[in-house]
Amino acid sequence: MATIPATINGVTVEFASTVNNDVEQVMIDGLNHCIKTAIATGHSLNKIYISSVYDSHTLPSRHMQKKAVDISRINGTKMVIGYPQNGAVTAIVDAIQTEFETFASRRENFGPHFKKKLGQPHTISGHNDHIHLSVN
Amino acid sequence: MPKSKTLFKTFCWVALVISLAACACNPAAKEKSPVLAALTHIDGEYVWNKKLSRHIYNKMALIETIVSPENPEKLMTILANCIDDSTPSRSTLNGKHLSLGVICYQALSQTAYYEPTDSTGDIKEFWPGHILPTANAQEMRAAKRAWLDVVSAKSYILY
Repeated sequence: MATIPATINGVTVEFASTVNNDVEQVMIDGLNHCIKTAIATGHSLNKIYISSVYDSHTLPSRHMQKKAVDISRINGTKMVIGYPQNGAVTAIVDAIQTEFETFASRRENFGPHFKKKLGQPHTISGHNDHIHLSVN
Repeated sequence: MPKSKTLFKTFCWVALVISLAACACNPAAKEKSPVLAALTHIDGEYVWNKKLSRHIYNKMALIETIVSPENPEKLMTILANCIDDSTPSRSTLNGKHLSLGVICYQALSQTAYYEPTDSTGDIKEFWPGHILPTANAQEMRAAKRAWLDVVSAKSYILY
């Protein structure tokens, strides 16, 4: 198994103390695809906060299959507070979600910008406060 | 003299029973935790966001200052138990005062989240713990039950 590195494409990755950082390589590939300092034009992504990986869920959750990651803070700001009030947070969240949609193995892409599953709009409650990314 | 003493005693007992009953029936009379008292008094407003097609609370930063010093575990218990509290708060939506339960849910959803999953492991489409500020009393009670389960299992995730 692989672990999410402390830096992805120059972006610092901070983990919640409860995180078990153990994932399938394809999930890391997905993060490498959408986590970049210049992901949003005019804004710099310096740090993401991962609130859950292989933890805090029960089987058969994709988290417990090591195929899902939750991101809850951008550049130190909680998404739940910064979206949509903070322009940089909003632009970066929108860009991350949009970019993840171009990753071939994407499955769930839920966040404040949109909710898509297997590339199609998907109705779910919640997820206006963090990004949940999962892979097949 | 003894008769008037007995009458006075009876009167005192009746007054005590009435006071206790009034206290038990009136949620506003119950003593609230300092966090809940502070949440009740926020002059907040839910404002419609056209782009997101949902209401956004305009005093989220103030809620942060109220809840952040609290122990998360204790806070989650207080907030989950408050979701169906119908005491009027000073916060409004379309000019109408909202129940304290709505503001407690707002504070809870700024503190932690929960991801319910279906049998395939994907996120469940509907979970009663997710509510809108326009939720009715029945929805608030269902949300409280859902969150109390989550709090008891400690399966919430802090932001």
